[in-house]
Amino acid sequence: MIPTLTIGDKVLLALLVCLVAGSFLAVGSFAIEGNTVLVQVDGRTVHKASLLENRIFPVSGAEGALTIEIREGRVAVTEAKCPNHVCIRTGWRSRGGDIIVCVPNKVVVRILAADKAGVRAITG
Amino acid sequence: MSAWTTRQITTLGLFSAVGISLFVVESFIPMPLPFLKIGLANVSSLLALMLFGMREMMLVMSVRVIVGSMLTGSLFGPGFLLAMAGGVGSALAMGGVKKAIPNVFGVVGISLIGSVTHVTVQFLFVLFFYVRTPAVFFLLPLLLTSALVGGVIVGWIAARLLPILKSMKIPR
Repeated sequence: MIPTLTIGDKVLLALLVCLVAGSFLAVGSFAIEGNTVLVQVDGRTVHKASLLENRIFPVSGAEGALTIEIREGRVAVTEAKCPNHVCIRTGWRSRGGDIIVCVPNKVVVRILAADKAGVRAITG
Repeated sequence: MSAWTTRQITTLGLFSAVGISLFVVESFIPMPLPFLKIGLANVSSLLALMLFGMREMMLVMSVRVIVGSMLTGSLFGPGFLLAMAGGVGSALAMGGVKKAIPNVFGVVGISLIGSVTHVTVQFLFVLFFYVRTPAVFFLLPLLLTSALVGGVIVGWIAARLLPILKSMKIPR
């Protein structure tokens, strides 16, 4: 029933399956691509910035100051006055829905999912 | 090489007719998204390639797209142009690969090359000439999946039919 597959066929099939799987992952990360960085301290929004503009700005947390940097479409906490620096270790984030949290400072850096220009424009 | 015998022309006509019929029938099968097709008509053009050559395959495919578009009412519409682009591109890829590295790929492999090329060419066409927004990239995984599935199915059918046709001594 199954036709004979040459070695080339099998290799091609394997490659294509990987390609397809990869395309799902790649598009998955874009589908919620964020373009806005929202910084909230203690639940209050203190800063709203575009992910596209390179910026470095300070944020006052409950225990001290943090430095947030937006560079090349990604955001990270680069300096923070907190004991464990988990926020800094979270590293650079760029996907919609990503969050960097500094618990002692009650700071949350969120990346908001893309708005109208994103998922809605699919045509048949 | 350029002139076909009457028998060859008749045979190619039959191949084209099969392609057209499959094309039209497949257009009636409902799919969640209109461009997700198995591409059954490619069985006939693939067989044309395996039994004859790239020129004959190109011929069968072109006739199928033109007449099929006439019958489904999309002649000279965007669908027609896309189908032609995809068809010609995939035919070039299939024929090219078969000629350049013979015996590396079997029927299923060639079919996969064709289906993926077909889908990719159409995608690029849509991206650059129609929608022009990167939003279409969201469709790429689905397109590629349908190309993968369709390519395997078409290749499988063609592979099963090939020995039967060969034993009928289809003239080359």
